[in-house]
Amino acid sequence: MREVETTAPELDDVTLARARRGDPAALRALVERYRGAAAALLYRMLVDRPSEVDDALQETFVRVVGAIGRFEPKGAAKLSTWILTIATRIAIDRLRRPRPKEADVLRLVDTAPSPEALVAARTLRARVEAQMAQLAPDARAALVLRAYHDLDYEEIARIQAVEVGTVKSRIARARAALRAALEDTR
Amino acid sequence: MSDDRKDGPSSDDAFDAEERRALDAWTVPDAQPGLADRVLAARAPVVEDEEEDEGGGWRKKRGVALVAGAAAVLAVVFLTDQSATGDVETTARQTVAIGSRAIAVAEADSAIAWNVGRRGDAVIDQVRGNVFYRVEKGGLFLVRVGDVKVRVVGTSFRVEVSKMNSKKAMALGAGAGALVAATVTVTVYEGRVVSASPNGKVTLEAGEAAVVVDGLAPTKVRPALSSRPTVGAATSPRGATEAEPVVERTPGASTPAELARLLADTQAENVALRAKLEQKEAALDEANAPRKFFDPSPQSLQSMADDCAIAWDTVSTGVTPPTVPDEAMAQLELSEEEREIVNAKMKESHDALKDDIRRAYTQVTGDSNTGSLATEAMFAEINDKTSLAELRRIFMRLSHERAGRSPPAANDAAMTPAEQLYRAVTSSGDRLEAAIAEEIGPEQARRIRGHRDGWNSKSRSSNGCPK
Repeated sequence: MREVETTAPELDDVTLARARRGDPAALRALVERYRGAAAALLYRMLVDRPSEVDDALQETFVRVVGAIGRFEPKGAAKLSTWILTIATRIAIDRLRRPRPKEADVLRLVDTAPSPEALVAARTLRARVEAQMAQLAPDARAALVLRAYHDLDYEEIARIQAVEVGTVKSRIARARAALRAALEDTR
Repeated sequence: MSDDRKDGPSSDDAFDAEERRALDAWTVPDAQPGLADRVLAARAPVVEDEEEDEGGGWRKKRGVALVAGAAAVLAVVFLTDQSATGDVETTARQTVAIGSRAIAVAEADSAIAWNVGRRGDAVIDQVRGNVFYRVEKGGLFLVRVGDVKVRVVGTSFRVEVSKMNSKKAMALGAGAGALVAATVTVTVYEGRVVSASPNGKVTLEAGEAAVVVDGLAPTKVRPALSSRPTVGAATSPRGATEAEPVVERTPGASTPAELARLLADTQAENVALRAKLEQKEAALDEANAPRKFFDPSPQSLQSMADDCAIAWDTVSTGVTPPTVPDEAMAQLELSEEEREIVNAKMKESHDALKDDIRRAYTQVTGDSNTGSLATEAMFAEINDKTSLAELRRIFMRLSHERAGRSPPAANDAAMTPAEQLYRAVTSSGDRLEAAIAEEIGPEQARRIRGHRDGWNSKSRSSNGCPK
């Protein structure tokens, strides 16, 4: 079974309370605890804009740290879900902007693909990435949150502010893209 | 994650084995280290503003209150609503009342100004000097020294503002003659106070002391460095007199010489802390400075060495070598002649890389018929035929050498073909830059390489460290 990105326990209540009061050590613990999951989400969401991942990750946690005092521990969303919500929105915002020219770092002085790129092009991963890059950001987000972060449909629906049925149809489109990637490798 | 899922996918919705295979294949790299440092550095500073409203209007008055004047001015106003303002600059020890519930004993060359609100809340700005305060219980009593705030409710304590002599700073090994540390020492005799600066705060109990150096959080030091005057009418400030206070020496500091030595120790500690802070700030600046892919920070190199990871950039080794495209010419400010030079050097690097891969392939597989094989396929097969343990050793050695943890390897002949290949590939980018630099100069070569954050094939990889 695939390893889910957010299987570790949530931040403990005491550290969370300290973080909400702005305690630097607690905020550091929070970032360290959730950076892996947020990074994994952003890498997949920004699969066609890898140069933006680091900035998006930092933007995510700057927002998280800035708003942690308003996070409601007893509310509907777990802290991890709340952070993934922020990361998802940041990724989708970026995907809606025109692609910056600087993002095309690999091609400016390129007239031939690299060995790594050619090797990757023959792998399933490259096919999956290619299919996902063509998928609408909302569908990509739904798949990533469901498949890699184990969020249920209702949680994804809340994050995306849509009905559960819409989430299901988005995931269905993403699964079709997955199958297309598999077809490409046969 | 949660066990109380309300709407998980049904078995019909679950990903089948093939879909899982595709999902599993979509791996992602580890997050870059140092994120927490960058986030905490980037966030808006936390402003301690709980006392800002207290005496807020008084700030405007401070300029007026602190009118230059050598002579001491004592202005105590007793009003039924307790409000009072005043300021004093002392040439000798002087006792003043701060509203109706506090007194201050200011040593020579001290300056304070105060504002007491209608409800008795008092805010004092201590500009300089050494002042002992006794405060009866009541509302807010806040002493501000620049950004440092000392907040109390019913206690006696001393606030001392001092500047470190620059010669002493140098003698103490600070290494910078310009380093003159302004320090605020807070000593508590009774009750409890909170000493706060923008960098942190500390709560002090009776018998404790704290030192605040510019830019540092308050730090507790050995207690009671300063003397405590006994004021006869201390419990009733209205009855405070100008009589010379009796000074009680604190235990452990019975002589002026000892006090001076303790003060010097504290100042030395302050300087050391300041130097340490500057080092950390410099390291943070270094870590936060934008770095090129091919020029990682020392911290990144150490982090990669921890993970036995290496990153490298090369020109691509496809069928044809890369060239500088037309659209990059203006940005790089290259002449046509320089472009030809760069293209030629990239071709040399491209050809050399392919030769390295072919040679390693022949050594690893015994197959010298490489003419029809793509370099990427050969590279992949070399990796396949190299044990994971060997790959881990190679990556550890390279990453540790880059981080300065071990000296560069000297004997290529003793290395496996895979290690020779990885050394050639991972140093190829530097060699190409050096080759271009020889022709058109190092600045231009660095600019070309850095224009798109490295040559056109970039990799960052790790196989884990040896078990």
